[in-house]
Amino acid sequence: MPKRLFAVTITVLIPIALFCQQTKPVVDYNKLINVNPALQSAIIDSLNARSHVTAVNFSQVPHSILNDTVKRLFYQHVANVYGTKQLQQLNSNFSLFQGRSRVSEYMTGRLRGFYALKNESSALDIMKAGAYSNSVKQLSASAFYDNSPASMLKAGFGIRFEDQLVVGNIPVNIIYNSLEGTIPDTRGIFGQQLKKFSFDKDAYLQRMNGYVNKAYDLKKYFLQDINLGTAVKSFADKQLSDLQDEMGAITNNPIQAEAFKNLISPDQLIWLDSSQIRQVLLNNHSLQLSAADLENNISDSTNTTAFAARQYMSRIMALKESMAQGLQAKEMLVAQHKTTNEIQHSLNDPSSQQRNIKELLPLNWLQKILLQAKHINIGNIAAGGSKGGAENLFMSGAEGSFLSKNKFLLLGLGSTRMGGDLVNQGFTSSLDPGAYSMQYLQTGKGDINDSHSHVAIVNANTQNKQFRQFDASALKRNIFVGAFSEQINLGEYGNITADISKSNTEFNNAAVGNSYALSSKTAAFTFFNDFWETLAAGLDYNGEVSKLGLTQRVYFNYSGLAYNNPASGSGTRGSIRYGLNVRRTWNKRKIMVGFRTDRQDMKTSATSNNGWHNRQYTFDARLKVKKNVSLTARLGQSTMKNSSKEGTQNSFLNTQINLGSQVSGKLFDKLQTNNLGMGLQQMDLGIAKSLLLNLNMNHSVVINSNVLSFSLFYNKDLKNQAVYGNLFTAETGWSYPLTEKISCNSGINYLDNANVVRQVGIRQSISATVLSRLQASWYVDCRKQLMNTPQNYLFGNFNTQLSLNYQFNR
Amino acid sequence: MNCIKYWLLPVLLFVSSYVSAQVSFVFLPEVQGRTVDGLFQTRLIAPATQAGRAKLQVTVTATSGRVVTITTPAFDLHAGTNILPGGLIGSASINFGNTKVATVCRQSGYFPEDDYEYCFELIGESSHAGEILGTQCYDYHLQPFSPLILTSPMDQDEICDKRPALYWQPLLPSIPGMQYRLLLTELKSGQAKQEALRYNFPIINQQFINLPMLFYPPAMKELEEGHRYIWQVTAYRNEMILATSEIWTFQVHCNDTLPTSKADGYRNIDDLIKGNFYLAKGRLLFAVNNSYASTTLNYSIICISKPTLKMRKLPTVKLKPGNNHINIDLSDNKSFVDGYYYQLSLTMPDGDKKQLRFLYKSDTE
Repeated sequence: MPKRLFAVTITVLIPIALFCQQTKPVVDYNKLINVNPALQSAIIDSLNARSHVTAVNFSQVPHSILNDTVKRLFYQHVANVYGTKQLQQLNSNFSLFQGRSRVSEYMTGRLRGFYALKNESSALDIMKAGAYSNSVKQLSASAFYDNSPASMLKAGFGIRFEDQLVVGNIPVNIIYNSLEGTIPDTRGIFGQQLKKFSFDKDAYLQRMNGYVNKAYDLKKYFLQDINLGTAVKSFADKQLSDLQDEMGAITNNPIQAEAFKNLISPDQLIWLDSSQIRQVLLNNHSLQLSAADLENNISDSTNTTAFAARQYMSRIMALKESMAQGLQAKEMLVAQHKTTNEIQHSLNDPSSQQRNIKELLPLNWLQKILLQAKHINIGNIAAGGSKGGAENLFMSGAEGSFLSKNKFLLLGLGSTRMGGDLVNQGFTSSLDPGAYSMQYLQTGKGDINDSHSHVAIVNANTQNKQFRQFDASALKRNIFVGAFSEQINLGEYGNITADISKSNTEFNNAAVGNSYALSSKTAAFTFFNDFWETLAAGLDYNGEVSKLGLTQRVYFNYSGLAYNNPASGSGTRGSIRYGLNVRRTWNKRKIMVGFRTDRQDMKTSATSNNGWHNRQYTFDARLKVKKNVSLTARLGQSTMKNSSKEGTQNSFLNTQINLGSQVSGKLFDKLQTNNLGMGLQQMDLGIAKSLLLNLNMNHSVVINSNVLSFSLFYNKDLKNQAVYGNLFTAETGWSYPLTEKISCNSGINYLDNANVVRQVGIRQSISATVLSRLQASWYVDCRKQLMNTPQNYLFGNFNTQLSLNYQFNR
Repeated sequence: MNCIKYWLLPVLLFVSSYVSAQVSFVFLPEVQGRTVDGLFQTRLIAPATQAGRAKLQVTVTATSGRVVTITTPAFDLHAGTNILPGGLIGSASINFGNTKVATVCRQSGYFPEDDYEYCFELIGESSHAGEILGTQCYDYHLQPFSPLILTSPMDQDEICDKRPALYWQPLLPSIPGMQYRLLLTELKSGQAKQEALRYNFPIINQQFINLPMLFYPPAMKELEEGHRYIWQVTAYRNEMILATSEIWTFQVHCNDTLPTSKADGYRNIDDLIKGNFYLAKGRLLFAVNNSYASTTLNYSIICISKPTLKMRKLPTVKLKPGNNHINIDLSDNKSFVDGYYYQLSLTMPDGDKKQLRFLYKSDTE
């Protein structure tokens, strides 16, 4: 199977070869404090005095300890926020900042939190105060009546209710949706109630972050209140001036003594490395040193300058080392500079917020888990992850996804069904099994919307159930799907996604061949059965080159003839699908040209190459002639061919050419817009070959604050093969404000569908903002049948819609 | 439609080979012969004498050999037309053949393209134990359906037409009685496609469509500018779903709608002159007060960056008494170059002269 092997190899290898990840360095404040006794003392002194840090003096490091009152408060803080267990740990080996012994960075973190507390009221009390609440967000209702003969529902009534409930500081959005309608002919009523509970991550983070900001001063937490830069520099300055005094004693040449005095600045001491400092010495004209003079092994005591310079060098290096080792001076300055830049950003960045919440708030286990959650939905929900596993599902069940330290986990559990809902009301059975119960998982490195390598599994079982009239009877079977998906971000050039997936189906009470011992195997245990027939793979590149105004997509998908993934909304068995979509704009988007092709070859036979071959091409262009004049053109073709032993035959052809224009501007001193479309379409279906002409035009004129509009639609089969009826519609409408809050549109219309139906009617719509939060709109289209025949299955003569929407506290 | 009838002829040729017993079977291979589950949608017509308990055995054979034999548990057969009791096949026993065709069937539940013989056998239980109550076979050349593919508006498309015609490709081979159902719903912001389809009332929810296209229903409220919509087509026969298309989205977005200028975009020209810097993005917007009668605005513009630049004709601007919001569109005037400085000179009807320097930036959209 060289073709298949090629497809799979390409799909797997390219992404792996390209995959790479970068991690962002993070400033470690705890380490910074731990290695700087002066900083420790400054913080402790400030806590003892209950005042801000005035200055950090690195030159004199006192051994500060927390006084008893503050220590008690600190214990209380730890017990409140992190629990009594941690307090015991703290008690048992408490040596916080005593002497030079290093305490754990963990404890230092706790102390930073304590230091940053805004007042002594605990974060726990603040959180308790706002733990429970409920707010109704929106209530809307809609109703309609439509008497067109082919409408699935004649009259309908719907209610939607949205609410946010907060329990234990966990916000949950609740949607209740009820749709009911009457079924034409039967007078029956069809109703459907859907519910959805979803954890609102944004609201959760916002709420928790609010608590953090209420209880803590984050600037203090990130040591922004301490001017480390000045402290370090004044320390360096002091050390240098001591050194200069010494140098005065070593060299007796006053010019040289002066030269040494101003040789190295505190900044240079911190930032330059040894060879750079040597260079500074060598470049000084007053000293007139050579490289050899600075070599240690020359013991020329007669050259006092060289001797002094060597002394100076060694002292400087010792000083530098003490600053680097003991103070982490450079790191400290970098950290503070970085934080100053980032602090504002990090206050708004969700991942930093998440870290602060985790470090500073007393969270229970559920609150901690929810901090890692990306989404959790329960009820009648859309669900799924990447292609190959579960995707584009609608199910009754629960799904959640979590991201922690760049590890992703998606879990889902629920049941799907093809019928019994309003959306497929009227159907009683389906060709595919009508219902499944399923469990799925997707996990791996990287977030699902970002660069990632994930594995996914799906386990599904058919369900023999009745959903109202819909009968989901099917032979019992267990299906297992294993998949691997990979996404690589190419930065500004877009991203590549690849997936490979394998399915396996096991029927219950089944046997193969002459064996009559029936068994019900678990599909996961026989996963590698019938490998090539049940394999699917895909590669998709989506990207843009913004400099060139170019967007592009290329994709390739393969699936074996027996590939079967009930958890995937897309995907066709036995097919190779590939396509290209390119779009480019020039001259500030004045010219746009797009080309798109989708090709699909679907094999239908296990023993021959019979199959369907589908080709779709679309070419479109837009030209903005002037700011208010645009021309569009679209040329499209879709064909379906069938290949068999007898050869290839065309089964369907649709070719369309459309030209359009959009013009707006002033004419007779009135602002007008005009959209015009013309199309020629050839449609061959079986023996019918039609050539259709389509025309449509919309024109509107602004008259004061009113708009007068006309629209015309005309369709004609030039060959009179009547693949569909010749249709002519004409409408005119007048939009006008009735009051400041009520606007209306009144119109008359005419429809003629050759020899089938002829209607004339009126149309009225009103939309109003009744109260500041209540919007209402009503639409009615009512027509008189001038002629009607039994062939009319599309055009009704009465349609009305009413909708009300009330928004609470927005 | 006539055309379909002719088109369907080649696929309609199934032959009931022989009927030998009293219980007969109503089986439509062009629909029910496509999947292993479909086989059990067969109806059984039993004379009163054969009523009792029985089990059904179905054997499907392709040219390369036996594909599958399925036996249901026993069920009550009534006199007249019987459908199999719901859930009965959940505990059926299945035996697959060893051929390639059988493998595809065992893994997918679908029968691939082939010439099949479908044989139904009803075996008596209890009082009729072991007795063959009826047997019937059907021959049929099965051709699996083509994919149901949407065509236009394309997925993710932006269209200008608020009453668009919708096109898709037919489900082939056409079988008698097959029709389409089309569903079109608004996709609200933040809503998943699958949820929008079920949580929102459909705008179009139409059945009985015979052709792979639908004109936007004329009596329906038109689609709204800026809104996104999703649509899906289902092919069905009677009350059975045969195939469902992908869900595609499109947005109604007309490039040239009426230009709207917000009132707060107009600042008094005297303030602008004091401000010493004005950026004109494709147009000059300012407010000016005229205490005289209606007239045309007396103004001229020169280029400061390149004084030799020849200025083309500027639009005529009317001035009415009182406060005027002036909007001078410069975007299509080739004298205005992105990044050049210009000076506008106004002479008001009262003789007052005003000068405003501005930097021109072309409006990208």
